[in-house]
Amino acid sequence: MSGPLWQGPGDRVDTLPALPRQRDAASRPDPAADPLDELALRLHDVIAAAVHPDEIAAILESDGMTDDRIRLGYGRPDSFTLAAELYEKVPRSHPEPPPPPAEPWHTGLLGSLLRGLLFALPGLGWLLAAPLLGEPALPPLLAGALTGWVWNQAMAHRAYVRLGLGNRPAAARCLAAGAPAGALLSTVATLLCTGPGQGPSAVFSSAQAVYLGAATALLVLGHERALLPCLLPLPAGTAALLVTDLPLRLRLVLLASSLAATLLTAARHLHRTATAEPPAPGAGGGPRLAASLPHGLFGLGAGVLVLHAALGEVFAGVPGAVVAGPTAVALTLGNGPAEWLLLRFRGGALAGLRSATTPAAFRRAAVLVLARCLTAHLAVLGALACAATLLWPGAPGLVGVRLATLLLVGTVLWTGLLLQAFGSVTPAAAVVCAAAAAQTTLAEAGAGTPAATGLAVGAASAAALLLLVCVRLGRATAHRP
Amino acid sequence: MLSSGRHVTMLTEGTYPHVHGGVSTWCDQLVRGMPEVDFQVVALIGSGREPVTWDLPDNVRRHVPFPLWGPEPPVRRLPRGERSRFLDTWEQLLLAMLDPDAGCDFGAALDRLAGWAREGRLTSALRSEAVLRSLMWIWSMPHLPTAAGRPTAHDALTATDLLEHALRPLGARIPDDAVAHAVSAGLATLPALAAQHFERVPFLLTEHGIYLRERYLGYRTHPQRTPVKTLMLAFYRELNTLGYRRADLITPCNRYNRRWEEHGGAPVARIRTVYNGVDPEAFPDADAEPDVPTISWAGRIDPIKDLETLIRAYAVVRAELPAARLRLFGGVPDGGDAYRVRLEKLAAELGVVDGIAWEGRVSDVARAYGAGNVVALSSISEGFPFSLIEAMSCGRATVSTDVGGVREAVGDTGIVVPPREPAVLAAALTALLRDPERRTALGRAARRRVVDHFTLTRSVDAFRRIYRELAGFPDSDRLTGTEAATATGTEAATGRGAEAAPVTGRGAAVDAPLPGGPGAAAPAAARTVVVPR
Repeated sequence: MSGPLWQGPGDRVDTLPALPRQRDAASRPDPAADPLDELALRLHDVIAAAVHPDEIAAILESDGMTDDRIRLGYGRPDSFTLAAELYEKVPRSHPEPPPPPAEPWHTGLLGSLLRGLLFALPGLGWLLAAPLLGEPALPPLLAGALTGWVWNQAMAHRAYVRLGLGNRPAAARCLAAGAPAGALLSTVATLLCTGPGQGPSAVFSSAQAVYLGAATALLVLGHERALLPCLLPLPAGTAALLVTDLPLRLRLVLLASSLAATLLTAARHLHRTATAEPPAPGAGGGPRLAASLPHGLFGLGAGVLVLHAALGEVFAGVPGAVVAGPTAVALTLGNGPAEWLLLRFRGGALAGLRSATTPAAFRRAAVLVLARCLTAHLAVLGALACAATLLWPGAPGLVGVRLATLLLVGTVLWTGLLLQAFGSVTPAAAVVCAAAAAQTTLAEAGAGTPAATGLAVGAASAAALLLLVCVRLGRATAHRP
Repeated sequence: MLSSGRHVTMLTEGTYPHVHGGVSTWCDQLVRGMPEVDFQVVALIGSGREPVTWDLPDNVRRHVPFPLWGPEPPVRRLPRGERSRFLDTWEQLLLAMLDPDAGCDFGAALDRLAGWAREGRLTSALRSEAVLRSLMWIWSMPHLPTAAGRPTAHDALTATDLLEHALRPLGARIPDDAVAHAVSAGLATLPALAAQHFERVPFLLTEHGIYLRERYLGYRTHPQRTPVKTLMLAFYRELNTLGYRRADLITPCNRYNRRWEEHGGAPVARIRTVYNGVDPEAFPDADAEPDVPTISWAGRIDPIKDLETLIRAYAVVRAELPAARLRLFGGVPDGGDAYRVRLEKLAAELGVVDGIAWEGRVSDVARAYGAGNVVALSSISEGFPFSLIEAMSCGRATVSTDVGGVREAVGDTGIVVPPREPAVLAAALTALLRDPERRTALGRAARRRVVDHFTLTRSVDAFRRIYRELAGFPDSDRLTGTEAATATGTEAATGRGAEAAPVTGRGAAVDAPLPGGPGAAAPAAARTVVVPR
């Protein structure tokens, strides 16, 4: 018969059981004994693993037992009767199939760490550009950054969906169209928000938007290792800064070369992927436009929350406020391990599926895995922030409210990413945007200190998202492979 | 209003027109043999990306590929008011499969599910959390066989996933003015069952191999935990029985299949054997035998053909006749390379690599049979193998394993040996290779047998009449009901023991027409797409 379709496509191996053969005449059994017993003994494992007498009948027939031979050898009229008696004789065993190969814990860890590094390295550009910018003007910078985040999150979603369907050329074309459009959009937003005398900031913001588009394209296609060399001028320049001051021109060259390298690399990879062999027909098109909107909004909300955490005091004009650099560094650098912890959560949930026998047991297991992964993430965040505080000259101390806010924002971001990864992006985007809106409104209205509002909003949104995760991801159907 | 048997919907699973094999060859013969009948082919396939590998003739008006494992259909949720009714139906289905004592009706539950499937709501309903929970509490009930296997949440996810994919064809709509002809039992019958329930479409079921048997054996490739295996095999068993009970006519391709069909609940009066056929013009008497003693084999390189036994037998033959050669004609299907590698390793272990020729797929299969002095068939499971009757039509002596309809095909014009016994197979092969007169005599008798009983015309004519009968226009030239009843009565009286007896003379094809019956337009041309099996 032709191929069975009831299991998914896959390699077909021998369907036939290797049945132990009759031993030679040397060990002839007692002629008065029922030959059925000898058969049951010989085929014991096969019979014990069968789930219905018909299965045993099928196996006997495949081994060459015709009805004639059964009548002559065993005195039963046909294979079905023989199979029924064998089925009754041997108790059922429940042999476990070979377990799937376990994912070693370190797969993907290096890749995730690399991605975290790639998220954080552009921050060094700020250090190099500080004297170029003079007094950094916030409106153009923020406008450019936020627009870029929103656009790139939505674009990345559209490209990932096409990649998921196996259509790499279409994903590359989507990125090739989306990245320049996003850069243009960010530049326009920057210019709209630029006031007089804020030129250098506007230029920096536009350059950042261009970089963001190119870097997103490379990261979505999986070319992290191609992006790393492009960013090397930045740490090189920063290292040199520790020793000696750099002239403005040199700083400009470093930044420009980094940007140019990223652009060229992105263009080259996009061109190569887009013109590669098109996939087989039926690979599917992209998602609806409305489906990418929540992803963009999630990017917006998350970006605003991080900005509040890092720059909240500067916004509020608190005397003596500085940019909470360590917080920003910890949150961006921590994105790498955060992605890896998402994979660990999925693995832990799968293990929970295999061990739980009731829905309630699975929910308990899932909550336990969530707690473990979240604790790990917060520990990483805390460690990074402490290290950054120690290294950052003049950073505010990381104690009390500031630490709590950092951890809460970290929780919000990670659980939001988790919901996004499992397809529940709309509730996550709603909660995050609501939190961002609340915090912005409170900051504008000047109600309470930025620290207090940050803590309150962070706690509320973290609680909401944790509840969402427990409800949605505590269901077994959310974890379909 | 049925169109007097001139419109037929052919339902296939994993075969014609996407895959080469015995069943698809038969399908191709059928559609080409009846150019006056319009066919619509609904082919259940895997991912949806399988290419069409057969040339479809003009009378195949429409070809609908239906992927079971393709992209997700658009999500359409059940309205809130129907959810509890759906859950009840689901639970009835599960109990019908798992607990025979519960008295639930599988067919009634399936009919209700078909209603939802036609609205496109079945997929999302089956993937809901409520359905999963329902399954988890039902199959953990202590008195059920699945409970002893400690089913986990992962098992429940797997099982609902497999069932959801398996039930997708329930929503496939087929024309209501055509006879629904399923070429195998199992999933291919789902559209026909739904159409029969809602639109009273006539339902014809042909069985080449026994679908349920193949499923039992095939579970070894993808081992799963016992609860999942129990549930899925129970589903196939119930579906099988439902198909047998509801089919208006069941046509196995040999009498051997009747054993499983009757055991599975098929009413005896509705079973009518229709043997496969070949065109004797397309497979004429082969040329002179080769000088070197050669055994030839033609087919698909697949574990069910049990080439291991053949290679082992060849090693024994070669010990007696060092000049003997083995020529294997046939291609490797997708995903079957692992088996071929195993065979080559076996040949190397036995030291016979230089005597085995892997000829690959050939376009002229008749020459493949002619390339040997003897044609061998060592399969573990067969329906009514084309390769055997083609070899017989070419006038070659055959040595084959006693599986399925082989004995009915060969009769006494070839040697039949038990399967999986290399020594016995080798003894038969050696005996024939050493005895040229016997080979010639057997070859000639084989060709006569094919011409008398197993021609393509006879096979196609039988189905042409069956289509008209099912459409409500019973053949006026046909044997009256009494003789048909006597014929089936004869078979019932002799009991199952007659299954293994060789078919002689009139015994073949009980529904044989009187000479000069209608529909004599036989396809004169040789088959255009010729493939080894």
